[in-house]
Amino acid sequence: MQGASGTYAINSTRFILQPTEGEWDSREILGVDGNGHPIYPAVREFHITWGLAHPNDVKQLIDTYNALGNTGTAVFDLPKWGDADYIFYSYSGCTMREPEVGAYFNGYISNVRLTLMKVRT
Amino acid sequence: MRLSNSDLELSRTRPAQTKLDLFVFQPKVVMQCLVNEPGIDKGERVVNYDTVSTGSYLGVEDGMTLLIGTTAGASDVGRLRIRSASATQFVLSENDDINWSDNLHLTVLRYFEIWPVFPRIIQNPNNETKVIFYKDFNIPYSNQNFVLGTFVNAGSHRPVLLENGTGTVYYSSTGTFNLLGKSLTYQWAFEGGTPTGSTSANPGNVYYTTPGDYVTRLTVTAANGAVDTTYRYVSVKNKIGEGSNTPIVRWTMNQLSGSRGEAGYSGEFTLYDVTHIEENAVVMLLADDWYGGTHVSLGGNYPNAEKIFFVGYVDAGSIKYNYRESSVTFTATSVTGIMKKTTGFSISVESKSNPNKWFELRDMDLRRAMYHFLRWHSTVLKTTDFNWVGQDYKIQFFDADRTSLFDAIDNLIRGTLIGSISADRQGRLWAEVDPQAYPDPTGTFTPVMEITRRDWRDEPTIDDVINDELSYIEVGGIAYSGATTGTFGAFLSGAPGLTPSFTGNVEQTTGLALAGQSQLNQLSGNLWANKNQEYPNISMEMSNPARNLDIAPQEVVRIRIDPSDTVKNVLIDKIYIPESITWSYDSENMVLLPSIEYHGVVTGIPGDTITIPADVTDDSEFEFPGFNFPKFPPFALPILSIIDPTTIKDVVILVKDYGVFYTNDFDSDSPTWQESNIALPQTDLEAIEVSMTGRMFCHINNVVGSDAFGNWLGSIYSAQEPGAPWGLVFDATMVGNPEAGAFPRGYTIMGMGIDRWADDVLLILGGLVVTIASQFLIYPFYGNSGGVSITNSVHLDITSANQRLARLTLGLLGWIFTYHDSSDKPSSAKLSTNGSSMSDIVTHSGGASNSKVHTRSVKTLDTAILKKDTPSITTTDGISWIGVSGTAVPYFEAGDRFESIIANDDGQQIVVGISNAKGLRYSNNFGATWITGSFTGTVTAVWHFGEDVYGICGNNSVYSIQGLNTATEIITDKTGNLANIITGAFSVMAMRHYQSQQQLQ
Repeated sequence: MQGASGTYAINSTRFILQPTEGEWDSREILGVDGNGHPIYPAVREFHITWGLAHPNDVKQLIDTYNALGNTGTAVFDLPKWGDADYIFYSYSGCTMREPEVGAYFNGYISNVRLTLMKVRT
Repeated sequence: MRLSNSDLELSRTRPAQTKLDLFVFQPKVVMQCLVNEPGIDKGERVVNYDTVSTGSYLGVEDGMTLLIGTTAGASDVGRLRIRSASATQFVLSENDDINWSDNLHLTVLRYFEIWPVFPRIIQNPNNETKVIFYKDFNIPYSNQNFVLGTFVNAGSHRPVLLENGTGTVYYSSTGTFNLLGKSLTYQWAFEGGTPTGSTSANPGNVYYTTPGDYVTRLTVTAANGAVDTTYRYVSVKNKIGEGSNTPIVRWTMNQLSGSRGEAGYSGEFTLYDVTHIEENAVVMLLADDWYGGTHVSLGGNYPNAEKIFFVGYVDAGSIKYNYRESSVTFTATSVTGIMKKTTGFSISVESKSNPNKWFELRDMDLRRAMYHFLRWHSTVLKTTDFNWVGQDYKIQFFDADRTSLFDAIDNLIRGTLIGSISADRQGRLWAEVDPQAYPDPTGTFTPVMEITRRDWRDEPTIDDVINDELSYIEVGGIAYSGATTGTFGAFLSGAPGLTPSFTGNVEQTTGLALAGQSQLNQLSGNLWANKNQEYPNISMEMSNPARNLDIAPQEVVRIRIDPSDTVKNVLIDKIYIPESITWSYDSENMVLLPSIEYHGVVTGIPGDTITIPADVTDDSEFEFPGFNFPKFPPFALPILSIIDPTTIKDVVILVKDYGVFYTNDFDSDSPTWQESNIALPQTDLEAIEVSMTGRMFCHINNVVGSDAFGNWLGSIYSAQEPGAPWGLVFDATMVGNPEAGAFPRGYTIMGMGIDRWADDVLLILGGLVVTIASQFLIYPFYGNSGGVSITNSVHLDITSANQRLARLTLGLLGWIFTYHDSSDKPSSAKLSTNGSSMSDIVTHSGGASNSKVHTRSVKTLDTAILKKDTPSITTTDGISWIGVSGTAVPYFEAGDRFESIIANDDGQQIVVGISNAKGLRYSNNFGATWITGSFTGTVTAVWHFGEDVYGICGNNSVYSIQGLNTATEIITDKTGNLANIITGAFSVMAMRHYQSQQQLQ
């Protein structure tokens, strides 16, 4: 589904501070078949990083993670995988890892990383 | 499972994705209460209760689980199977392991666990040398092993997720199998579902809208009355994130592995945030699958159950709690894993055409043996499907030691047919003959898929066997035709031939059930070839989920490995079956891919016949030294004890409408009579015969109904001795209709005779109306309590119209048979030992109807007596009539009826009992003249105990009479307690005496 926000968003809520970078992670190769073709899992991961983020923004990420809890899923608006254009697409049924954070720097938090999981492309 | 070509291609579509949901069935609490029995003993089976805090006994069913604990809902004291419940009591399975005490908490769960069911064998209270068998403590034998039953299939237990508020379960009885091929009726009950029930064999979809744990019940009734019930658990949940009643949220499973060697699957699970897991709880995995962009699930062995990935049970001994992590870890196994840990009782069963004991089984084959064991020695079939694959054979015996439920039946099929028992992923049981035991293993099975290089990951592992593992195998067994004909053939075969190959071991397999020599030769060749095959095992990690493959039923695949596929540069193109499958679940990537080990199947060249020597003596090389047997010391035959007729203790009577009663102190002033009616129908009782050892046969009219022409059919029941349960020996439905055609009619039982001096000999004359009012045929059935059969294909045509009454007795000269000829004349004839031929036919010219012949008290000369309102007739040998002319009658009294008649040892004294309160008439000269006895009451039965001692019975009374025809005649009332144990008026139809084993010693 075409991402309604046109930018990074979780459950249609845009990030106040746009990420420094976003990147589709390489899929783990499960093996190679007898014809030499790799076998991949069906789902991908996407990670978003902020070089510096305000603690309040980080708190929102952590709140989102906590809200998903053990049972919830979320809709992520992400750059569409494999598309010819840089457009955003809403991926549903996804989960996320707990946000990873780096050191505090001048009242900000450095190297904030959010990994989005189980993204069916 | 065989997929369509399109589904097979779809199953290979990448990427594949699977999400598994874990369900643990939580049984409902049906009832909670307290033990109400101060002083209750250890092992008590009948337990009083009170203080019901939840539910009622009305919701309790046979087979439910009872938890016994020191607190409400606990099972720290134990758990048991419930047999029945009343307003104040539970009847439970045997339980010496339970240390009962008053006020223990009892919790009934709507849960039907897999239990062993123990038989009980007790000493016969009336004969300490004999025993009585019961199943499940107190179920006597009636006809269970004759009517057999049904393997009822209802699929596996079901995990269900609600989709838009509705969950769907498909129900079918696919695979249900009645052992006699009887037509079946079905009664489904879907707790929590819509519809709530069905009488269809395949009800189809049932819908659930409320999350919960439910039980579906299916009762199948066969046309012969056999009833089987099975239960399936249905766990209905909200999807995770869509409600509070969800499957387990946080859990892990390292691997799920299954193999034919282990006979099923097992996997280790860890659950978080779960504080308690019940032992033997049902664990289910539900799969949600994608193949590329297609959202569908494939595979499974039951219709419309593709999403059910695994069904197993919590292994009670594997549960471990980790309180620091707040987790519980356990192993879940297939039903076979539970069966392996459940110890059954030893069993020994013999094939019989007409079984009448618990240890006899009707015309046994392996399926019947397994049904008997699983049905009567366990509760496995209450919750599990059972399927059979392969050729079955008749077997004469089934013996199992005291071993696990699994080993009992697995050893049977393994040692008899070369097969095995396994459970598939969905928890259904399969009894299968190995492919190598088929005549053409490679040609019999169509592969379910061809596995080529696109189907494996990385490189397959190939076992290569250079030298033969087996140099020679000798295989032997028995071809048994079944209990009806009872013929055997012993066969032996060797492979590769009579000369072994050069390497490998030697094996010997015996005790197989076989079809014959040629089948055995092919079998031995197959066994040798499969042991020595090249590339016997191939292992590979699959590139696709391969959910169409399972370890059971055995599914054949064709594996093609080209030379370029491996460094070994070999070409393999042959048939394999999955021997083991290990599924690894990567929940983060939602990947569920298996690694599979395949085992090859080849067809061998037939082995050679080994002739079994008729005489094993070979004196060509060795000669026994000569020796002489010492002479035996002279001995004399023991003198048979003659029973003093005045001290007869053991007497049996047949009471109209009340059944059979017996006493072992008839010689006392007030005999104690007891009932002997276990499993005996008590209506339309016709006659009883009792051998001197106490074996009883009872003729019952009309209990199997009548045919289209109103002919009575009737049955013969037998009991080993007074007090023992009765079992069906014969009814007309067992023998079909030899005159089948335009006017099929059933048999009526005309007469029944036994050899009182043999323990177990029975002759029945079955009559058949062929042409109404013109032709009547008699078919003799000869045998024993284990069954009777028509003695020859030629009937005895007595062409008598509408006359159904005949009597049989056995004298020194053989069976004497009285009947009516075509002119309704009383006639007699002799029958050969097994009744197959009739001779010495004599017809009385006087004319009378309704003939009877007495049954002799001892085996001496024959005396035949015919009567009814007209002259009685007597002879000394049953065929030479005397005193039969005109009015020169032995005895005749107009208007009276002889109710019974008997003669003494030499036939000279004849005693008749008469209705209308005219007591006895007797003759001391073969019936030439008659005397009125001093006993004047109504006599309904007379019997000769010996010498001048008789038994006489009337309405509500039993007597002995000694000294008939003497001045010292003594009449003694022997009614004893009969009037107390029989409610209301009664009439004794027959009396016999025997000797219990105590008296014989």
